[in-house]
Amino acid sequence: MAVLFTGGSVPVVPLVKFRQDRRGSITIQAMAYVAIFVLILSLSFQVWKVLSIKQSLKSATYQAARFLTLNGLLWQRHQADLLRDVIRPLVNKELHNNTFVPEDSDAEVILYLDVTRPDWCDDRNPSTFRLLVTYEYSVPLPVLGSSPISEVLVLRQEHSGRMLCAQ
Amino acid sequence: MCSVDARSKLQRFVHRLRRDRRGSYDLIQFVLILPILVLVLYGSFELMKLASVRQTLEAATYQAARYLSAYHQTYANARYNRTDDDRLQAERLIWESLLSNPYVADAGNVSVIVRYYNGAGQEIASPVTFSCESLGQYVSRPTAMDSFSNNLIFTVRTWVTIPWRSSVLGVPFGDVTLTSAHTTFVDCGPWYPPRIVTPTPTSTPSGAPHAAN
Repeated sequence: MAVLFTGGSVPVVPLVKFRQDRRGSITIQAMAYVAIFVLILSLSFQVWKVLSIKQSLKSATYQAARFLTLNGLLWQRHQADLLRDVIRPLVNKELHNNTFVPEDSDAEVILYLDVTRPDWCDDRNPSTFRLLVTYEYSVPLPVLGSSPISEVLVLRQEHSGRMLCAQ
Repeated sequence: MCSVDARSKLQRFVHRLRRDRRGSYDLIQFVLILPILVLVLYGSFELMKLASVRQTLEAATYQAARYLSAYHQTYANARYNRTDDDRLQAERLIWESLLSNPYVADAGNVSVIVRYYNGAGQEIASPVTFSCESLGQYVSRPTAMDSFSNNLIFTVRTWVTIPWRSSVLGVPFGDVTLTSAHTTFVDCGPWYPPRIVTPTPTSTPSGAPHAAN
């Protein structure tokens, strides 16, 4: 009997032959190694990009926080203008200095101001702020088949501080 | 006679060597992998050098931006005893930071280009001409915000071109250009005349004073 059958009607001899055939095994092994190596390189590059963007986000948040510390109290009556005209442009410009950040994507900036007493500057009971910056970055993962799959990472950075009184 | 023996021995040795399969797999694999390994190590070292220069450039650009943020025309008068060209000082900072990196210092003919951009992304001659005295007026007039923020925020962008002396298999890398940018603002500090209304005591119908708006 040359052909073996399992429970169904699928012949297993070609499979056994294929498994026993050692010709070209080095090539197949090398191909597997190369594929894994390329995958690791690609993933490392993506991790590097994400870390770089995270660093830029941190720097952008820091600049905005520095501005709020120095000038935040001046804008206590125009908080919406402060956010629209200074803080958002400052954060997004610093973020876009990073070449990995796409031009058409912006960070979301949320600003909480706790002004203890409008029109009065009190160093003993200081006004404070909390700045929350989030940026959604789409990470392209290695192509599987013909469709690239991507994962959206939400990078988040927060900075709090007190606003200095102008003396 | 002697040479025939030697030749025969050599032939036997070559024949034996060709038929010997012991260690062939590992040896050949090692010989194949070794140059790739050396190339990867060499490439890693070159990348490390580039990363080091890039890191120095980042720090230098940040230092220049921070310097220009703190020192601007408001301070450049006799009262503060500062009449230097702030832009020149900032660019000197960049040069000094870069030259502290041995890979840049040894590179030879390095060129550095520094450019400044305002909040609208337009190139400007110098970011230090913003007038802090008028900050309070700008804040109290929201209609003036656009031009205000364009002048307040600025970006320092630096390009460094280094002749890279390394080569792979005799092919030189050529010049390598790295770039870095930092955005910051003109730091007027909290000292300028603030827009603070001092509460004036006024009398209420009940006679008790309270702060007016």
